[in-house]
Amino acid sequence: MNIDKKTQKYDRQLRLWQASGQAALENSKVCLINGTATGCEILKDLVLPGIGSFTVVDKKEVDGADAGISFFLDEDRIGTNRAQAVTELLQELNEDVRGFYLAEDPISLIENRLDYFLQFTIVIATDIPEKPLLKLSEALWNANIPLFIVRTIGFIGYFRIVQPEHTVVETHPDSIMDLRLDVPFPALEQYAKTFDFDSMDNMDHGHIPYVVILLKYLDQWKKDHDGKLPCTSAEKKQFKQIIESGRRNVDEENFAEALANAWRAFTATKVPHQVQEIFNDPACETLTANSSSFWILARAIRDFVANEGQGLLPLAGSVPDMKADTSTYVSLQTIYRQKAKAEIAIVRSHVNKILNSIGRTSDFIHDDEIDSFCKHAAFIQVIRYRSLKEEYISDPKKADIDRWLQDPQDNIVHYVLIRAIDKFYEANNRYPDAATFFIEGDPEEATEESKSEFELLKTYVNILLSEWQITNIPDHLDDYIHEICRAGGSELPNMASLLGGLVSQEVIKLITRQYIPLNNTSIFDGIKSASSTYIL
Amino acid sequence: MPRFSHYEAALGSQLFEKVKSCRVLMVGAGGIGCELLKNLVMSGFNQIELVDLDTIDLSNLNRQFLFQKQHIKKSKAQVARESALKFNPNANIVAHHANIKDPQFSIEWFKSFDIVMNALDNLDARRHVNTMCLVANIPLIESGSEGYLGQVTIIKKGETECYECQPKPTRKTYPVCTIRSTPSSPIHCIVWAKSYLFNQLFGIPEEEDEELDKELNDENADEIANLKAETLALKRIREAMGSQDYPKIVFQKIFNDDINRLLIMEDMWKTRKRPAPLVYEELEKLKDTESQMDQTTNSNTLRDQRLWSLTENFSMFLESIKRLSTQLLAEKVTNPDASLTFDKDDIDAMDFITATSNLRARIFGIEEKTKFQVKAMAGNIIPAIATTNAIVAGMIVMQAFKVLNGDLNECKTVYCSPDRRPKSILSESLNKPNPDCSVCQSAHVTLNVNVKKATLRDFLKEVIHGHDEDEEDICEVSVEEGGRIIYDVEYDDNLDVTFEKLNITDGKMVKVTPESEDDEKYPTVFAISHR
Repeated sequence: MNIDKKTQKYDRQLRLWQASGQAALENSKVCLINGTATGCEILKDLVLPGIGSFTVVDKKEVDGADAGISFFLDEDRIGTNRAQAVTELLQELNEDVRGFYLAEDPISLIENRLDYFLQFTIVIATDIPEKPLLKLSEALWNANIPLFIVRTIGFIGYFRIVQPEHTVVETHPDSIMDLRLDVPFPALEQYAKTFDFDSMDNMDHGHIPYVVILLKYLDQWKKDHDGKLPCTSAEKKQFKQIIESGRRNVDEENFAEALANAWRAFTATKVPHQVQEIFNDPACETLTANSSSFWILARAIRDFVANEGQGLLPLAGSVPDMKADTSTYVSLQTIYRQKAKAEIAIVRSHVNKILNSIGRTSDFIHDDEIDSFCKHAAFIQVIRYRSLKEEYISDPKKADIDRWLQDPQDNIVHYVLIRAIDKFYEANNRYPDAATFFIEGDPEEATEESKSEFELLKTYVNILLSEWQITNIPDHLDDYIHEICRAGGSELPNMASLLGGLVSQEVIKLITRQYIPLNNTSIFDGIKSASSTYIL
Repeated sequence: MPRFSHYEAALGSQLFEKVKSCRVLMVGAGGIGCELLKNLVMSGFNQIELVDLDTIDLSNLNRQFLFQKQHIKKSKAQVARESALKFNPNANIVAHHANIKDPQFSIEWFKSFDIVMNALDNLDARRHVNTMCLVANIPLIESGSEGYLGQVTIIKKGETECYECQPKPTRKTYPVCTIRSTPSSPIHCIVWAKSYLFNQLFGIPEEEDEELDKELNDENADEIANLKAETLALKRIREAMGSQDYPKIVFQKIFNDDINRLLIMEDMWKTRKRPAPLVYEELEKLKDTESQMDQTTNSNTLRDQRLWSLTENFSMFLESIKRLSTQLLAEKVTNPDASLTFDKDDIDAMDFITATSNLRARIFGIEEKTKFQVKAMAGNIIPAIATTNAIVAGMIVMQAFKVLNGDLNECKTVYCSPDRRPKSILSESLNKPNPDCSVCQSAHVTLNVNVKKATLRDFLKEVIHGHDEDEEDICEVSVEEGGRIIYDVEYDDNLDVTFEKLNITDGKMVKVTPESEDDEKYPTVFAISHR
């Protein structure tokens, strides 16, 4: 497909993540373990926007239940390999995406050829029992490959993101405003001085950009107050009154803008707390030949702040829309832009110095990467995840779970059940049997068999709770055991689709390295139509 | 395992019977619609009618997964039906490739459904379905998505807020003089290229005289007169369409003559930067010199995403005029009254708007934009992706289960905004109707009437005033249909015209609002049923 056509096909999403995000998607290789309904919905939402390729690993043969639940499977496919069937159908959704399948048992693959999974950008695991999951997650963790663990049971959806660290430059904040009103740089200060408000005619006076208005009045204020900014609320009020008194008539929109933005003048420009933490991080402190470009850039910015920046981040360089005539606005834009450009050049020299010291060439980091980093420097993010081993074995969040569990409205109860079902599987090599559960959900009509199945599942809930030393077992737990089992542990197409949307959205955030992804577990309750995020 | 047994188990057989037997109307088969239709079919819904007037475009394929390349230009409703039937051949799906506002979709027709689901992308159709559902008293599930944001809510007459209970933001408009004479930002140039020049050259020119007169004051009388003359001259130029020189004539007129004329008005440029007209011959020369040099720069970046040079804009302007002229003249062969309408996904139109607005920006010293940016600004483009639509459609079905189960009090307004942690999906209780809402607080009445015979006077006399013969002709009400005034105290021209001649036909809605102060303030909406 030619470039014009491609831009047109992906137009509506390029508005969200631009060409850079699209390129990252097109270079990605996604692996889905088990072609479940939920897994297929996730892949559908990734194939449509154009990932590079996907691979489905699944040994199962399509059965009647699959055909009933998965939109991608019909009855003609019954008896054929599920990986092959879903791959062929998913492939039809987008000719630009390559689809592969491996008709092998994922669990034995994890046992015997763990390396197989290291070729992917991201791995999505559905329906994998606890033990092989732990093994897989450890291998991916060491290779720094994100793993998604996904489950839907009845009206409950669960997913967990596992990876050591995720860094984001383009976090897409609501606005990047970096005007330096409190600490104007010389060129900006000079420019503001060229405006003589009193001698201007009404037309010009109504077109002074609000940045200049604020700078002028702030300059005067500082002169009258030993160089200090308005600080107390009385002072701030007084400052606004001074601006108001300079306004010639109520129609002067630029003065209205100045008043609305006056708070920016009182807000000290400084390195935000979360960026300071990134600077203090050991990964920023000790760079090696294996350091990612994010950490090299973070260090270069840190060096800039400590030296040329005199305690401040590089200037973002953009100017928001404001009431002004064209030429004034363009001059103002140029002043900010030139300052930003000069600072980017300094950051570049820091980057080169660092690259040299760790034995890398300067083309390891491109200019546009530096531009973007400088522009977003105040908004960069590092997210560190907990490993699955910590969650399951070495450091479960016992106290948190206990606390959340006492609230009958909290979604954590579904987590307990999902984990209990895994334990059930581990012991019995099967999931709780749907058919023996009462269809109408009326406990009175329950058969002896279903009651025993319920009791069996409850045993595993209790085992889990005692592992976590939770002794105060809330009353509502039984209701939820009934509820989650009513669907017979199976997927419902509508929930599969909904969860597919939620998971693929996070996958896209990780691949494009844009927007801030979840950390680390999300649980959605379809009946309540509400999701919760937990760090587990 | 029989099909749907998992749903029967999860929902209980009583509710599942309702799911199977209920009649669902789905309005819109686009981004949310494709996902919704799949979910409905897969969840056991059996009686579905869907309405969509749109045809499939390439830019739909990144999310509207029931459509593929070979379906481009076909009816969305029909292709969606065919694709969905493959997955459940037993479902009974009726597709209408039509506008939901068409009279065939009458109140009676709406009443034949148990539940209506909106999967729309525009205010106008949403308003219409909202009113129809209120009048028919059928529950409506309303939804929308924009980028990563999505929303689902329920509208039920008398019990919840309706679509119009909260005012909707209106679109920004610009003064005509700013657009035509004194642009100061990129959007002014883009609006000029799209709403003015494109329509003047290829579309149906907007009636602007009235707009211009509205802005008329002592200071700008000359300017307004000039602008009117300018438009007239452009109309004459349009006759030259198709000739070899056409692009050049247009260029000369709008980028040189008109700018020179503006420059004569010295007052205008006292406080503004003077525009600099472009000279055709100079640009042609510049183009020649450039083409002799090796042009390998920028070849790696997407053309849409980088700024075009002056000569690139120049060449594209001429070329796109040629392409659009050819398009229009070809249509005129079969239809002499043919005209083009701006479509953000039409490559020729976007090339034209981009080049034109950038040349104009150059003249006025305004920042130029890439085609990608111009498209967003001109097309009012709403970002859209598969993921959000999947979430929204899933939430619609969850709410539908509750509506069908009679649990309206358990229904929620559900939002998804993945950046708002810790809850990426959150729900709120439904709001009560706004007592001041002029839409859902109106009385809704079905009026059986012979539209061929009944006149407006009959209506006012017989219906509004009852059979009181002494009543004067002047009636203190206003009467509207579809946003146009049919009658008010100062406008009685239509009194003796029949409903049919007034285009008030079966299925239309007539809104009567009392004008006198002591009357109750709520309007009455009459749904016309022709007998």
